[in-house]
Amino acid sequence: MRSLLRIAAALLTIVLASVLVFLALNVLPGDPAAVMLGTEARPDTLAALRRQMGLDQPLPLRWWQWLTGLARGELGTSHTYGVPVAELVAARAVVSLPLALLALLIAVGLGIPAGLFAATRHRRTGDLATMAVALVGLSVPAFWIGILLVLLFAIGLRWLPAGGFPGWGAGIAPGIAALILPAIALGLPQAAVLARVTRTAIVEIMRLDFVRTARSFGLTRTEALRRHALPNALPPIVTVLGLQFSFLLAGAVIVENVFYLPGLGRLVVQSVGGRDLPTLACLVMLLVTAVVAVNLAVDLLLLRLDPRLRHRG
Amino acid sequence: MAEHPDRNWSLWLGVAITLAIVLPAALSLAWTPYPPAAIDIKARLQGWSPAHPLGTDPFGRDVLSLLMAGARNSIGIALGAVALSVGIGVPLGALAAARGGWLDDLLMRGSDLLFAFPAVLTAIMLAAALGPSMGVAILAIGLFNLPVFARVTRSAAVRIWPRAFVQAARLSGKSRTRITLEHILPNILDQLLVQVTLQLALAILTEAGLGYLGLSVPPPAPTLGRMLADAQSFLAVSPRLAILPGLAIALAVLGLNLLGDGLRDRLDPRLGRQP
Repeated sequence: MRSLLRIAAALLTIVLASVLVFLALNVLPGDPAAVMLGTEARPDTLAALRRQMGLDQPLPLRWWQWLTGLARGELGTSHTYGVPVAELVAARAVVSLPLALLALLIAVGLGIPAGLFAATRHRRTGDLATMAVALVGLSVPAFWIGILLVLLFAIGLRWLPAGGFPGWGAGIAPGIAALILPAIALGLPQAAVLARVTRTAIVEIMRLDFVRTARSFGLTRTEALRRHALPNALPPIVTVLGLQFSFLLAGAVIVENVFYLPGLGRLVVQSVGGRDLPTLACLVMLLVTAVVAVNLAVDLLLLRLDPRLRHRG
Repeated sequence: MAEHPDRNWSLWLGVAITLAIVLPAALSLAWTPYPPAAIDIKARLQGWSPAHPLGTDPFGRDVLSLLMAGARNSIGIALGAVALSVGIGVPLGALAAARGGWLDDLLMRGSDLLFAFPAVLTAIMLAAALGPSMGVAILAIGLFNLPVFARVTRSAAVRIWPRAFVQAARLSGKSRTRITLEHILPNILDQLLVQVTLQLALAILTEAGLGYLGLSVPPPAPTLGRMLADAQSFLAVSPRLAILPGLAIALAVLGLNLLGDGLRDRLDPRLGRQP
């Protein structure tokens, strides 16, 4: 029941978001027909074009047609590229999704162990050092890490490409090589956030009575950590992962531009440059839907991880 | 309030680092070594020298002056954005806590909706519709941060409302608005202050990203983010140009984060015991 409510709320959020995106990109910039024809256009030409583009329809109807079109997968045609937006999105997603996945892998693979390490050395040098590094990590803009990585590994050591993407057709290895630096740039600040959250969660749980009881029954510290602390620390960690997704996405938009990766984020920025508003509107909706979907997934996962939540009002 | 000297270094280090960035930025309002936009092609891409302590960029502009003015713009936008989100988010959060019921639900759903729009996306949309400007950057970052303040205010205020002194004030016939102003807000001010510091740090990070994409203040006004974007073409020739603005951003954010962490520990004795 609670899951159904959450799903309904998420859908409502997406529909409301579409109103905001529609207003921002279809109403705010003014009449696209007038923009296309310029100021010298004759009124009847303008009216004809408006009719042809469907602009003479009332706004709520235009919004509804746009939204239902999106839901059916009719994303329209890009002004700049002259190809269906859906094709464009698919071609770019094969760069962006692996990048995001790789970044997530780095963030989780680095952040959670670092947090665990700090928690087990609570208030000792190892803890303080890890947390100091984490604080620096979350204070540094991802795209600047990207630039520094290019400076070091592409220009200095010449180990990896400075940017661009060979396409998956060139093979898996060159593709991954092109994504590894951007993924590190994106993943490091997220790892820092995760390390802090993991440490706090573990430290708090290790203090609780049931862990102390388990320890007094002879469970070793590592056992207690693995059997009791880690499973109970998962909900806050998963929550933060979900909340951070929106930062990961924003970071990806910028980092893709640092590395000239032909991903969705670069397409977003390119469509602003080319004033390709229909494409931009689709992309923003897509990304906002992704944020809502990830947070929904996190909520549903939390309901599974923590049975207590299922019975709360 | 109990002092925790072992943890206070965070607060003071934060103050020191933040001031190291904020003071030169504030000074740039009155004085910079050179006018930040002054182009001197003959002096382009110079290294460190007494005339240009941090060198010059590809247009011969003085990097120190650019950094000072750029930091001022970044901090100004961050302050504007946080002021916007505090100015709207705190009253909404306080209202949700005071009224409860459907209004509470409605306001919190609304904040969920705003939170689904990463600031970079909002800025991109608004910049596409209206053209990039300082106002667009402030609006985009402020709108994204608004739900944070609404939520923090609400959850802190909800914990104060059932307390006896609030109930006493209620029985004495004070209106909910007066109670919020006289009893609730003063009691959650410290938590809000911590949030303001941390959100300022995030706002500076976001502004840097927007500046990098060319979506913050348009040229010739310098921003730290755009300095980084411009420096990318000269990475091999002049790495200094890509390092200094990033360092300025990172220090400003680090200073504010330390300050926020330190403040939180100082204000919450329970946390203060566990550095």
